[in-house]
Order: sequence, then structure tokens, then C-alpha cells
Amino acid sequence: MTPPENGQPQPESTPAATDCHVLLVEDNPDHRELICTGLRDCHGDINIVNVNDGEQALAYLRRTGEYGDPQRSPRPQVVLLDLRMPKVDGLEVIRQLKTSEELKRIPVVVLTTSKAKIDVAKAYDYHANSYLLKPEEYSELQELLTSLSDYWLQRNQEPISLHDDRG
Amino acid sequence: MSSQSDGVANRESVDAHAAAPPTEHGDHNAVHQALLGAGLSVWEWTSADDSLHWIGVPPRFLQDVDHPVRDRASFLALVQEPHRAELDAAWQAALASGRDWSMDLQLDLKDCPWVRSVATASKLADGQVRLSGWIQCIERQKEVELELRRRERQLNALINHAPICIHQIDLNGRITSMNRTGLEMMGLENPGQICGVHYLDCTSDQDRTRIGQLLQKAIKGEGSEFEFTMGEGSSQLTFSSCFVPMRNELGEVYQLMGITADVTEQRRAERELKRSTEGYELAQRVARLERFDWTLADDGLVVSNGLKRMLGLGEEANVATIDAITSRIDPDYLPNWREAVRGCVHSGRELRVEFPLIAADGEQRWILALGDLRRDANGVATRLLGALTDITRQRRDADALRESQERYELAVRGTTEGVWDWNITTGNVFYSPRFRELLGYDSDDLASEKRVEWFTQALHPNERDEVWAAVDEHLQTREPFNREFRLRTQSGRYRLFHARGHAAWADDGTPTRMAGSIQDVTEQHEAQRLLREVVDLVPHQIFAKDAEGRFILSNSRHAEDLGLTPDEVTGRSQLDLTPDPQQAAAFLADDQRVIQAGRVTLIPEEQYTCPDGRQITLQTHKIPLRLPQSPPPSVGVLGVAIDITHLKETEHELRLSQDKFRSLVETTSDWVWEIDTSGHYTYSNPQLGRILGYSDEEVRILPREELFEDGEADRFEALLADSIKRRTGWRNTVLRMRARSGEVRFLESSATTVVDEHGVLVGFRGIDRDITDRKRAEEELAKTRSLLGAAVESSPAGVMIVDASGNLQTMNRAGALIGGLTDEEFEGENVASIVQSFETLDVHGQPLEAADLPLVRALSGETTHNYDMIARLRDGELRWLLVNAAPVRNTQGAIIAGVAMFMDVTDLKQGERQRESLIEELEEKNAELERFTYTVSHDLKSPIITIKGFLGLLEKDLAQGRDQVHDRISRIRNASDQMSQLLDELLELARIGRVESNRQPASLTELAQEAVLLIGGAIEKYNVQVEVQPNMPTVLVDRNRIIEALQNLLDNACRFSKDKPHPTVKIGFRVEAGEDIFFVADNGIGIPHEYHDKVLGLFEQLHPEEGGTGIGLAIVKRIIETHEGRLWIESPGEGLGATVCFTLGESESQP
Repeated sequence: MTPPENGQPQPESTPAATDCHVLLVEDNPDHRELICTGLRDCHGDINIVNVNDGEQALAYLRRTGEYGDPQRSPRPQVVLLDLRMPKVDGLEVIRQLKTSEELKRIPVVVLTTSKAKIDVAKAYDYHANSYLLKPEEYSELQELLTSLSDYWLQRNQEPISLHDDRG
Repeated sequence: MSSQSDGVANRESVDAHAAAPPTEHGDHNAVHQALLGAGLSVWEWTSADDSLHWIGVPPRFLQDVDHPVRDRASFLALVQEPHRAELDAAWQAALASGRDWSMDLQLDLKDCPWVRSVATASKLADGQVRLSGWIQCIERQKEVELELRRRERQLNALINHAPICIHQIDLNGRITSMNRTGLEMMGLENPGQICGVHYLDCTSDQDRTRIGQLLQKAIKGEGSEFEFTMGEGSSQLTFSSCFVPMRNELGEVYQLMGITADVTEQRRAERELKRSTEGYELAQRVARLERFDWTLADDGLVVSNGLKRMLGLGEEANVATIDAITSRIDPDYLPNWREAVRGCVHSGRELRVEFPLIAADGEQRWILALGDLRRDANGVATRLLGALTDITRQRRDADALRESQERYELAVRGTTEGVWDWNITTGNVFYSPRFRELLGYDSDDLASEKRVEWFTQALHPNERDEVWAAVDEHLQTREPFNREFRLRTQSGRYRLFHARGHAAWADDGTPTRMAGSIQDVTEQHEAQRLLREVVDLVPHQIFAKDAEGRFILSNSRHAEDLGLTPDEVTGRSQLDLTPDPQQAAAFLADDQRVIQAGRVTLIPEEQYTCPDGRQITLQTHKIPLRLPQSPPPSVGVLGVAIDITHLKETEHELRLSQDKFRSLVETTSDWVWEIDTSGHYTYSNPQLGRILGYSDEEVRILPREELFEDGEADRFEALLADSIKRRTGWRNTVLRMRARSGEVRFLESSATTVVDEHGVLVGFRGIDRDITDRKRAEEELAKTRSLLGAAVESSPAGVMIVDASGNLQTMNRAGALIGGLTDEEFEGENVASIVQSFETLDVHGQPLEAADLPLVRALSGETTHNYDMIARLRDGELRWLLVNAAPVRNTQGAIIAGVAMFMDVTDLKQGERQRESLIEELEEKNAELERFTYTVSHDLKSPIITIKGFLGLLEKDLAQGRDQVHDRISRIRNASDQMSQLLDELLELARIGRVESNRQPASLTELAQEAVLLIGGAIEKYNVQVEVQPNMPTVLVDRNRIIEALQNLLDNACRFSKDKPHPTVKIGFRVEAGEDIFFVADNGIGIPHEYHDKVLGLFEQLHPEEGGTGIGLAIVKRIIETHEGRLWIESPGEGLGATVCFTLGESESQP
């Protein structure tokens, strides 16, 4: 595994139209690699789309700019979102997703180092689905990612819209 | 139980109900809870074992009691006498008949002397009684009640002793109370007789509607004053009254206060004065009295206007001398006048004298002068007040009578009687020649006629029998024969003869002869008939009496007053005819005096009682009656009596009226006076002495300057002159007079004109009321007002008063100062328009609605407290005002003005705002600090997670034999390095704020070059072209800091432009709006506009992949800020390069 290139989405496996299990929004390349490694360790065939900041995350989900082709930007089962990022930060991403009629049903799980009250409060205010702290120990991180993928990718019922079956 | 009926207990009754003592066991808990909640202590007592239990918390005061309160006796012991006895009695009553009690008790304790005790009794099944009750500390209520009672008592005492009737009326118009004076006024003994009576039932029918309307108005809030009467006739009373609506604190009328004063005497006095004046003038006209007032000392004579005309004096002449009268008296009668005056002055007799007077029109008039002498305190005669009556007509009547009398006497004169002599025995008659002549025959004719038949034949046939019967009667009775009869004369006409005769009788009584005379009285009879007609026409009594008092003449009026016909009177004596013998004797005595003196005498007044009982008063002229040319003594009296009864009655009434007037003006508390047109007082009632301390005499002679305060005399002169000119009186003019003591007295003066019967203004009559006390009170009030005014004027707060229509009436100096008015403007006329020009804003700077202005609200009855508003003055300056405003009401409760007090709180508000912005700043700093803290913790955490994560992976790799060790280790090292850099830079950032910087002048060019040298490595590495503008200004800075900042900026610029074909960085400066702006510009990747501010924040990185910590720009910003400068980013957009600009603020700059 190599560090992802700057600014480009990083599909970890062969692009398949509906194969996106996780959209990982993380600016720190080290953390990105740790999370990807961790996820794959417990869930070998997982598809992870990586973006570096909020701006790219929104572009991906709205399918604008370089993500204009819906075939190349499938809907994720869950968004793993860091908060402190350049340009558009994580809180702003939640706010925009959850106020969008089209995107609000996509589960958003915050994964951050920030324990600041204001971040926790605001994330939930903006209707984040879950808020998790990055553990320091790799073993703990792996445990977290195992239960996270087990929960959100295996057990959680995917959201269904009565009006729109595109996602 | 006394407290059961007292006012407080009643007022508290609502509470008592709410917390009624528990009665049912089932309710106990709930009720007890409620009572306890209300601060009441509940107890229960049973007669079975005399045990008293406190339910819940016993009262606090029991803590101070050293014995347990567990039974009735110990409970009673708490209470002071006499309340203890009352409570004991109530307790027994409760036991005996189940009576409840509610009373206030005074305890024998220090802290809680007054409690309210309420209890109720209930019979238990076993015949025992249970008492349940509560007590409550009411110390405070009691104090208030006592204070209230005390004030009520004072007020009641005041009201009861006020000298006017004060009463209260409820909104149904019923009288609810009345003070003692009121009861006395209505003749009642106790208030029960009037309380509950409808007000209108106290008014007469004619006043009912009118007062009813006023009452309704008063109930609606409009007070009124009115007068009404009660009773009938002489006992009718007049009241002046008013309704004053009483308002509660909400401004609603809750009852009326009525004040009534008995003004009966006042009104009666006014009416009487008017009537008296009218009666007096009427009487004067009827009596045709012409008054004169002769001052003896200086021979000054003041006469009424009629007399002025009679005496030929001009109307404008005010004073003449007595010569004006005496020079016109008939000289023959002057001695009579002088005699009468002497008698009056020296002997004190009434002046009463008659004389002919040649009036100014040349006619002679008979005048009756009557007069009365006035003496001073020492008994010295000072003035002769009198009246002249024109009695010419009366005299003329008397003269006419006398002339008739003379004619009669002439008729008698020159006649001779015819004599006859009848010899009864022979039957022959001697008829004297004169006899025959009287019958129209020649003296020689019928000389031989001796027959008695001839006489009989001559007698009028109708009288023959009567005459012979009379002769026969004479012959038998021997009474004198005296008879008139008619005889036929030669010409055949009958004439009237008067015959007298007398017979002679023989010794045996046989008549032998009868002789007599006849007289032709035809003419005489005619004269008498004429005379009778004349005298009967005279409306006065005319009579004549002989010396013996027998009436020889009586006219019809005279006879009528005697109840007889004239014929019946004639020949009878005064003594016979006058019912009262004393009067008769007096009349006869008068007659004798006249006969003796032989002079005409006036008996000015004599009382006469008519037979029919009428009392009349006569003024009689008695004239001595004597035969023509014959000397005195006279033979009788001729009288002319004028009935002056009516005149006397009028005079009497006049006197009564004057007396009444006098007693009125002398008993009134006001000074009643009369003044003539020259301004001299002619009358003063005794109140003058009380008010000013002068006597009647003094006030006449004192110069006006003595009587009046300085300047007031002139004012009074002017008032007088003006009133004379306009012929009107004056009303309620206040004059300042000086009492004898030197004290100022304020008199409220009212006057009416006094005119004589010809309408000529002769002076003024007036009433002055002493209003000094009122005036003093007004002055006190004015003083209080001026004090109040001074207080307002010197108040440090602005004060504004507007009238009911909102016009500015007053503003004090403080107000003017706040409003920015100059002294000239404040003293000037335009204060209102200046104040009007101020714009008024609310606290948010929005214009205020007029209806929200405190003074406008005050005029609609609203009171405003601490209202914040802003006024924009003429120069645009804003003043924050704190305003209090309230309505000003008159005693009727109507709003008559609004007053506002306002303070300039601009400084305070500005301080407040500064504080607010300071707080805002602080909060911002706090938020920044908080942000800092969590960003720091986040950014420090990131490398740790990287380190630990890769260490974990490394362990796994080693265990699984995978070969990625180098990559993992390099990541761990990089993360450790980044963490170290982060910590260094954070320390640096913290130091910038903490360390006191050392400033020196330095050229920016020089500093930039130094920075370029220091960062040389990076420049070379990225092959960047760096350009430093020469001759940049010298500034006063902390060199090292600015170099550090420039280094940071250079580093950024190099890194973000390194990928361009020709990376270029320029350090320079430009001048904008007089400010030096320094910049570091590159031609690199640029920064999108929306991130210009964000990238200046701590740990903010647009391109984390470029490395760095996100602290660099934050450090630069901090350095610039410590130099009071600003830092910002200019960039046209992505890929178009970026320029970081900064200023160095206050730092001294040198070219």
C-alpha cells in the first residue's frame, strides 16, 4: 500500500458502479493509511473512497466537478469524517449533507481526535449519526474499526427514500 | 366581644374565612396544611381532660414561654388583662353554647404582644366539647390599625369642630356621615337621624331637580357649588353648599364630600340692606322730606337735591351755609325760626316751626321745619339734622275756610230783625214794620193787619202744622221757641226765616202773650250751604268750636271721624263726642291756649281715638275765631286737622327699617361704610374699630395716606374717580389698609352707588371684608410655591411642565443645560419651539411615537418611571435621558398638567456601552482561547496517533514477517519531528504575547534583506527569485520579531510558488491614504478569496500536504498586532499568486 496522491479520490479497489462501502474524509495522510489498513484488516474486500478535505467530500457526494459521473462516484454506505480539515471542515460538511434533501439519509460517523464540547455538540446539532474518538493504540483503533464496519456495513439497515430510489 | 365588631376584624374577615378553624375531622389535614402555610398555629382542646394540643408547629413565641402551654389555664396565662378575662368569658361561652370566637389579644410577651385568636367549638358524642382554633401574630397589622385609628380620630376631631357642615355622601346619594356642626345646623341630635337619608330628601321641592343634577354630575366626578333653601317664611334657611368627589388611588370616585355653610344671615342681611335702602328712599319720596344737615361749628349746610332746587343752589354745590334757608324765610316769621332753633339747641326741644318761604321760583311756600340735634361725646351740640316739609296746600285749605267764615259774618252784618207780639188772649198780633218789610211789603202796607191767621196763611202749607205744634209745645213746656220756617212774601216766593220767641204766662199758667223776632236767613242759609260744600270738599278735618267747646262747625271728614253726620255734630260739645275724656280735655286745653293767645297754633301731632276704635294721628292748625274787627279774646277756635297717621306709619316703618339696617350693619363682621363723591366717609359701622382700630370720627378726618398702605391711597383714589365716572360700584377689590397698630390689613372691598331720588350719584355704600388671614395664607402658599419653584430651578435634574394641552409651561435651568440651550435662549421666548425641535428616539435609535412620550402619557394619566430615551439635539448630538413623568391633578382629580424630570445619562450609557464592548472583546478572547486549546490538543494528538498507530503496525509487521519496517519508522520519525516543530512554534507564539518587546528604529529594507539571508537555503532549494525594494521607510520596531515575521512570509511565499516556472517573491511597500503598507508578494498558487481570513487562524492549513504546522501565519499576525498593525491577504484567485500585506500602526516611520 502506498500513500495516496494529493487531492485525488483513491478507490482502493477496482471501480465498480455500486461498490462503495466507505467514504473516508481525512486530511492527515498518516491517519488515512492507519484507518484504511485497520478497515481492511477486519473486512478484506471493503471499498474505501478517500478524499482529503470537506470540499472534496461535498464534491464527491454532490457529484460535481471531477465527480460528475455517477458511475464513478457511487453512494457510500457510511461517511467516516474527520473534523479539522483545511478549506471546508467536517462540521460544515455535516451541516450541508444533513440539510440536503437528497443526501441527508447517508449515515455520517465522525472520527476525530477532538474531544472539545463544542465539536461534539455541533456535530449532533447538525444531525451526525455517530461521534467517535480516534484511539491512540493501534489495537484499539482496529477494535473500533472492526465494530464500526460490523455495525454500519453489516448490521445497519441501509436508508431508503420513499421518493427517490437513486441512492 | 369588642374585637368582633371593630373595623380591622371586619376588614380581615376575608382572611378569617379563608383560614377558618378546622371543624370536621375529615378535613383536618388539608385545612391544617393550609393554615400552617398561612403562618397560623393550630390548636385543639378537649374539655374531657383539659388538654391542649398544638397541631404541627407551635407558635414561635412559645419558645419564650418558660411553662408548657398544655391546658386552658396555661393558655390563658399567656394573655394580658383585660384580654385574659375576655378570652376566659369567650371560652366559657364556647363551652356552654358552642359559640365561636374571633378576637385580638394582647399577650404578656415581649416580641409578639398582639395575636388574633379564632376558635370554634364542637360537641363530641360523649357530651364533651372540643375547641379547635388558630392564633396568628398580628403585631404589624395591629400597629397599622392603631396608627389608622389615631389618624382617623384626629381627622374626625377636625371635621367635628369645623364651623361648617361636613358630610359624606355615598354613590347612591345617601348621607353616610355628618359632623357635629352639620347636625346642629339641621337641628338634629345624633348622626343616626341623618345617616342613610337621601341627600335630595333634605332639599326643598323647588331645589330638588337642580341639586339632583349636580349630585349626578358629582358622582361622575364633577364637583359643584350651589345654594339652596330649607323651611318656609321667616324660618327659611339658606345654605351654600358644594359637592367634592373623592377619588381612590385608581382615580375612581368612591364617595362625595359635601360641605355646607349656613349663609341665611348673610343673604338675609343682603336682602334687608337692599329692601331697607329701597324703603328708605320710598319713604323719603312719599314724605316729600327735604333733608338738611347743618354743622353748627362752621355753619356748613348740606342739603338734599330737592332742597337745593327750592333754595336755588346749584346741584354741584355740596356745602352752603344756613343763610341759604334763613334768607328766604318771610321776615315776619324769622323770629319764630330763631326762637325754635334756640329752643332746640339750648333747651333740647325738638325743632318744629312753620314759616312761609320764598322759593327760588318766586312762589311763596309754607314750610314745616322739623329737626333733631346731634351732640358729640361731651354733649356739645354739633349738628342739626332736619327736614323741611312743604305744607303750602294744608295752609291754603285753612285760609279758604277763614275767608268763608268772614263772608258769613258779613251776611249776618246789617240785618235787623222783624218783631212780632201775639196777644193770645185777644188773638191780635203786632207785626212790626220791619216784619212786613221782610215779607216784601211796604212798611205802611197792611198796617192794620192784626190777625194771627195772616201769619198762618203766609206759612208754607207744609210747615203750618209743624210750626203751630212747636208753638203749642213752647206754651206748654216753656222751652225757648227757636225755629226756622218758610213764609210767602208779597211777591209770592217763599223765603227762609229764623224765628225766636218767648211766651208769658198768667199766674195760673195760662199763656197770655208770646213775642219774638224773625230774621230772613235765606241768604245766610245759602252761604252756609256753600261753605259746607267747600269745607266738605277739603279732605282734612275742619271744625269750629265756641269758647265753651261746642262745635259750631264740622265738615264731613270731621264728622265722619266722630262717627256722625255734620248736623249731628253741630251744637254738641267736644266732651260729649270724644270717647276718651283725657283726649277731650287735652283738646279743650289747646283750644283755650289758642283763644287766649289769639295766634295760630300748630299742634304737630295729636292722637285721636275714633268712636269706631281707629287710632289716628292728627296734625292740627288751630286758628282763633273772632268776629270781624273785634279784639281778642276770640270767641272760638277754627281748626284744620290733617290726618298724618299714614305719614307717621311710614315714618315709623322707615325708622324701623333704618334701625334694622343699622343693627345689621353694626352686627355684621364686615366693615360697612358710606362715602360721598368727594371721598369722605359719611358712615362707618363699629367693625371699623375691630378691623382697623379707628373710630367712626377718626376715619372721617384721617388723611387717606394714613388709612392706606403706601401707594394704595392713590389706587383707591383712582378706583373712586373711575367709579364716579362710570357711575358703577366695584366688587371684591382688594385694598391694603393700615391699621392704627401699623399692621397691614387686607380688605376685600365691594361697593354700590348711592343716588338721590333724581338719580344723581351722591356717593357709595360698601362692605369691606377683612381677608388679611386669607391673604396671609395665600402669601404662605405663594412662599411655599416659590420655594418649590426654587427647588425645581436648582434641581440637578431637568424638569419640564406642560399644560393639559401639551404646551411647554416651564423648564428649569438644568433642563436647558441638558437640552443644549444657551443662557440667552433659556431666558428667551422660544424655549418651547427649541425643545419641540428635538428629535426623540427610543433606545434602539428609532423615532419615538408621540403617544409613547412620557409627558404625553402623563397627560393621559399614566405615570412613567425610569424611561430610557434619546433626544437628538439641534447639533445632532444624542443625549440619553432617563425620564420620570407624572400627571398633575387638581383637587377634583382632573389632569391639569404633566411634569417630567429627566437626567442626562449619556456618559453612563456610553460607559455601559464601553463595558459591553469590553465584555464582548473578552468573550471573543475567551472563545479564541478555547478554540486554541482544543485545536492544540487536536493537533498535538494527531502525531501521537500516527506514532502509536505505526508502532502498532510495526509490531504486527514484525510478527507477521512483513517488510515495511523502513516506511513505518520513517512515518514515526516524521510525526515526531512534526510534533517537536509544533511544540517549538506554539512556544514561540506564546512568547510573542508575553515578552516585552524592545523597539529600535530600523529600515524595513535592511530587515527584509536580513530575512532573505536567513532563509537563503529555501530560496536556493526552490530556485525562487527574491526582490527587496530599496529605501523602504525606517520604522520603530522590535527588529528580531519583524525579521521573524518576514522570514515566515518569505518561507510561505517560496513554498507556494516553487511549482511555477519562474517563482518570484517581492518584498516592498506602497502608500495608501497616507499609510505605509508593506507586503510580501509571490506569483504562486494563490489563495481562493473565501480562505483569506481562515488561513490566518492557528493551525489552519490550506495545503497540509505542503508540510508545516499551520502556526506560521498565526505567529506573523501576532507579531504585527503587537506592533499595533494589521495583517491581511490579497490574492486575485487560485493560481494567480498571493500578497500578504501589513501595516506597522503607530510605529514611528521615517523615510
